[in-house]
Amino acid sequence: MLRLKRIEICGFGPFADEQILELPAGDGVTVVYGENMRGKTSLLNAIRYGFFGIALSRGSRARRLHTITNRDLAAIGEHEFSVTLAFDYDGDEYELVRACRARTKTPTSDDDYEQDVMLRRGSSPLGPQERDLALLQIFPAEVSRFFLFDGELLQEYEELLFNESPAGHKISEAIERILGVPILKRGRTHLVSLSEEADRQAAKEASKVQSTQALGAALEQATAQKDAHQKEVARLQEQLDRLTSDKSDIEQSMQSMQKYSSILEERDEANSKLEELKNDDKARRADLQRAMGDSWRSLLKEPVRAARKAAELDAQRELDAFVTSLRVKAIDTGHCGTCDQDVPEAVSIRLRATIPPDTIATSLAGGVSAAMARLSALGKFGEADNFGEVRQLWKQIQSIAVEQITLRDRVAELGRALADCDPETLRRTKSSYGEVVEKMGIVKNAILEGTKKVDERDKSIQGIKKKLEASGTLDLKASQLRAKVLRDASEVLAAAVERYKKELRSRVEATASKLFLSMTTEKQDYSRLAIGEGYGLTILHRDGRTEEARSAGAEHVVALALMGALQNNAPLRGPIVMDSPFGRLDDDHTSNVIRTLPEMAGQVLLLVYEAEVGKKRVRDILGGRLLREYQLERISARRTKLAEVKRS
Amino acid sequence: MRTTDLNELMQTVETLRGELHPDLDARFLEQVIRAEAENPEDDAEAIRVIELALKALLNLSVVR
Amino acid sequence: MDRDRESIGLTPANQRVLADLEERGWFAEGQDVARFCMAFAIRAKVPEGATQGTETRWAAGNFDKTGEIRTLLAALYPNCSTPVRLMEHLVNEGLQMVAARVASDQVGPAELMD
Repeated sequence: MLRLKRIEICGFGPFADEQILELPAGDGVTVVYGENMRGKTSLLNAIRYGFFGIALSRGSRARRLHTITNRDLAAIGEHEFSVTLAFDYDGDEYELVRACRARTKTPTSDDDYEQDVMLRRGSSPLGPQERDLALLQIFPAEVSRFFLFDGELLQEYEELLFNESPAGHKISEAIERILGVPILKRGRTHLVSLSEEADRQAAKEASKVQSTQALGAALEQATAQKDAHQKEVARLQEQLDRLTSDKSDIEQSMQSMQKYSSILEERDEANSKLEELKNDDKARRADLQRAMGDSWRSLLKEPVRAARKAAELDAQRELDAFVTSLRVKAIDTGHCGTCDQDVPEAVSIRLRATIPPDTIATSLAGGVSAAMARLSALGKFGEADNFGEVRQLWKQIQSIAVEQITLRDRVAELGRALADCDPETLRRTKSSYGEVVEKMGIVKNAILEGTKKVDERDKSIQGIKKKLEASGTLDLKASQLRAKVLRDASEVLAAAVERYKKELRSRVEATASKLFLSMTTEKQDYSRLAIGEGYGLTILHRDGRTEEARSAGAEHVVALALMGALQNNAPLRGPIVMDSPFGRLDDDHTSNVIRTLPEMAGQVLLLVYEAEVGKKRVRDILGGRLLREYQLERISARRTKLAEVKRS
Repeated sequence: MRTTDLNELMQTVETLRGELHPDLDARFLEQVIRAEAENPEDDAEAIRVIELALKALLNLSVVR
Repeated sequence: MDRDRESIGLTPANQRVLADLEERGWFAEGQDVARFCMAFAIRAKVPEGATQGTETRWAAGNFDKTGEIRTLLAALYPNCSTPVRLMEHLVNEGLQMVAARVASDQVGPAELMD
């Protein structure tokens, strides 16, 4: 386990003069209080710089060296700074000194600096290679996020919930690193490589011996074929990795263009709809023109009917008048011109009774014929009634017009929103994404096929080996034994990877749950945390439901629980240094977290500002587990002093 | 990484050795793990240490 | 008896009205507009008459290919002996009426037919 003993800082951030922080031996918490801009983050960065040679700014970007120098010292031309870390590891005492010296009078970039790193184990300084190897073993940079963190780094934990994200993957890999999984993975890879080499060697030797020549040759051939397939699978895997990286880049690009992407999609849809409406409008107008070509007939329907009725009445009237005139003549002449008979008196009297008074004799020739002619002409008129059709079509045309106006407005609005982006780039990005995904599918299938071929070759190889084992010479047996040991060992490690990960996840889950329940204020509602494949943690209620709506504060507490669980279960253990970790937490949660700190790691260095949590509260909560307190005291705007707080 | 910190990892490997290949030498596997833990970035060195362990194991087998 | 015309003409003002109505796209061609307006005038009971100052637009045989309109007008206006002149008059009167309706009420073809 790594245990910090002393931190010396000089010229770094606000620490112009040399400042020393001594961490007590034994498990517990050391607290450093400091107001904003006093140097808490610089203290965290100094530890980071000491171990890894980098300091981070907001957004986890590496800071340039010339921005780290104390401003007061830089103003007088002194640009150097250094950090010394004294620590214990694996029963040995170490001192790590990292110093930065400027090559120029006014450095403006990292190239203007020279960095010296010295690592001493006991009293002996280590050579550069040994030093780098030792540092890699003691504290690998990729796991630093689990030991040195602030509120911003805690937010990155949310990436774990989306394991497909590049950041989520990175964090999962870092967790496996801290838990020791790569040891097994690398071991398996190396054993497989050695085992294959041993197989090839055994095949060569078998082919030298007469009795096993054929088998040896067959084994060599099968091994060569297996190698070829494996190479191909490896090549495809590399291709898949590149494609995965491309996909991730495109996804990131698309994410940043997300809003534009959806705007562009909407605009394209709207334009497409406008085109449709244009065609509809054209079609409706064509129908309207056709209908209006006949509409004069519809307009004349009623006048023609009225005229027809009038004509019918006229014809009837004319006919009646004609009949009356015939009767009058018959009465006057006493003879009927129609049937050419004399009219008896009695009939005359009857006929007279049918004659209306004041009857005037009508011209017989024109009257009925004219009315009938009119009727005939009106009857020939081709009636139509397309009022309904015209009304319907006109309504549709008007509705299309309104929709077109609305859509055009929308398109213009969307066009303005897209002013800052290039739609072509968006479209190309989308189509590239599709292409990459398709290619990935093809490559994945090819990898599956290739792996099958490798397995087939392997089966064939095992069969040949069995035959060889039964018939081989002593030398051959030695080669075969070597190959067998390596093969068996690689199988054990391969199985161990999965089993260990499963066991670890289970242990991490149990510890994280315990820590979480210690820190949460909802102990009645929540039962535990559940860990996923990618080490994302979900909160479970007592009734088994998952907590879907997690607040920022809840994420915070879950992240802290994970940090503590990793510390407790990892082969790699060290101090936790936390910079203002209570940002999103309420008072109760803050108290719970402070109370739980000693359970997260043997050694905890907590950097806080007093408004966040005061000295009295810290002392009351931690009691005897509070080992030492420091205060970052202001000397000037650009200088800070680190002073131990003496308790009465 | 300290060897003693690798206890749980070693325990898992040992359990699986017993399940899959009980005739495989337990010490050899321990040495493989140690080689990897001590050479996290150095493939060549890790392989060299493993080969040494293997040679020792095979020599022992021959002697037996 | 007056001699009947052989063509349908429009007054200069009505040429413009016709152009405007054609522009609206409700009709496929000018003759459709003219027939519609003629019917509009008949429906409005415009009496027999004659329009002066017209410029020839269509031959009567082209406007009324089958003679159907002439026959109809003879039935609707039995006292008229110059059906083509009447046709011309009704077209011109109808154009004025439709133009006035369209300008005042912002109506469409459906409303014109109501």
